Amino acid sequence: MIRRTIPLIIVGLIFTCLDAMDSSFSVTMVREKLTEQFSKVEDFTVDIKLSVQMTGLRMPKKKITLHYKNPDHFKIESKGFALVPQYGLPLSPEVLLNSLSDITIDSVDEISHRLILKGNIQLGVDKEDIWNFSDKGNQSMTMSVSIDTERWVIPSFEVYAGAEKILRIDTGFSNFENGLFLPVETVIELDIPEMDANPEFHMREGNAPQSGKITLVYKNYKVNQGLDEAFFLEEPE
Amino acid sequence: MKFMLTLIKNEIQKILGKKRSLIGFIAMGVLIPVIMIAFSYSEGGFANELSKKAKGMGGGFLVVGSIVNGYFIAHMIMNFLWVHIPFLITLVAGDVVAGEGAAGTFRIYLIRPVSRFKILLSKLLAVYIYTAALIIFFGLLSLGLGVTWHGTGDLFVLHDGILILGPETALIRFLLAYTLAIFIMFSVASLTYMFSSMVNNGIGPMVGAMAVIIISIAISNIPLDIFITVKPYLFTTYFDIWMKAFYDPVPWDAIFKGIGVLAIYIISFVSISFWIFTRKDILT
Repeated sequence: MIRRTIPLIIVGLIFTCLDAMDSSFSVTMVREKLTEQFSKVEDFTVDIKLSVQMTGLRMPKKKITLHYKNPDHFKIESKGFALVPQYGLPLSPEVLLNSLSDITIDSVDEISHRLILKGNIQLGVDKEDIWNFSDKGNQSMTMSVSIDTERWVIPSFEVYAGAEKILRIDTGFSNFENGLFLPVETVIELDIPEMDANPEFHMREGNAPQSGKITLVYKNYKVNQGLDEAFFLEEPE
Repeated sequence: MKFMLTLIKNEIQKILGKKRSLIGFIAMGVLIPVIMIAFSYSEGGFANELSKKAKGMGGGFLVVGSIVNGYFIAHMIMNFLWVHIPFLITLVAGDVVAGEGAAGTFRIYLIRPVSRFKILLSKLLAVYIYTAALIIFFGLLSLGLGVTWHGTGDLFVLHDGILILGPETALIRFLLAYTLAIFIMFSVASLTYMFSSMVNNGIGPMVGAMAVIIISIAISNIPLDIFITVKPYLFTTYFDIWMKAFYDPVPWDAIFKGIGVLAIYIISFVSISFWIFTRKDILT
């Protein structure tokens, strides 16, 4: 009798513990923690080395400078002309999460300090929308956001069109000072299938599949130097 | 050799002595600065248009800096004018042999102890020099004015999506493109020269050459099965090989194929003109 009940008690305890763990995280709490971590940065300036290896866009390696001010001001300067992927820039996590609806916690891994949020991307009617990968405005797109619950940063996220993964972004962070984590490298992997590609993307060539990799390497951070809002209203030279 | 150079020099002097020879230079000398001025006022339009295109590129691409610079404008001018430059070439090449027939100077010219072959060759080389000079002038003016007025920078090209070439690469590609353009225009000059050697009226070869070019370009661009079959054998099909100088990677196979086909046409046109003229009775 005791032999039978002990395993049942253990299993019961495990489930109770897992429930307790799950309930220790809520979407609101996760968002607050991410914002809290990111708000340690009032503003920053960083040099970015941009490297693009993809179909549909070929560009030599570029050095750009990004200026950011909380919550959503940013300005990019470049010697010459450059196309910069907006979703790869180290902007506020709130900007990312605000583009999602019906956010739920998909999984929690306490051992590796990872939590996955899932949500539907709110696609605007605007063709120029940041997430508008498709010319079919009604195609359902979802995002899976992986969160580091130890450092409260977003090391990766993935975008799906239906069941197909079309974008993955991985970001490596380093401790800048006193628990302030800033990105050192972001790798964007794009794989937009033929049928879904936005025709504007292809200019002359029709709906060919688009795939490739974009790498952004961040160097020379200057954090909290008191950048004025007016600076972000000036046109870059 | 020295004698040949003297003959070529004579022919060049004859070409430059005619006002029509300057039309091409004057036309470019007026048009290119006008385009440069226009770009000073309309730069924003291009930037906005590209910005819209880029934002449609799989979402969220930000456009930083301006695409409009000297290289961009020179590339655009080349795109506009490559179909019109042949006309400027025919103005001179059409008259170079037929003009002497019309003026009645051949009877005196050909009794000198110089072979017809050498006279024809000097005329042909003079036409080639004029052709090359026109393209070099075109290149120097559009690149020189463009860079002086609008500066250098990356070259934005539409090829298989968006292609951006760095400033150093762009300059090398321009050199390649203008060299190819000179070779392409040699085929136009040779065609007109062939017609010029057949008649005694300078207008006929110009109109004839332009008619052949227009018909050939039309056939190249109409997507009918029969025309598609013929297309690879038409010399005008390879008029755009200069554009390939701006592709990345440079499609050398396609460029060499184009040069090969054009070379066959040039040799054929020149051979026919020599064959006709050396057997021709000079009656005017």
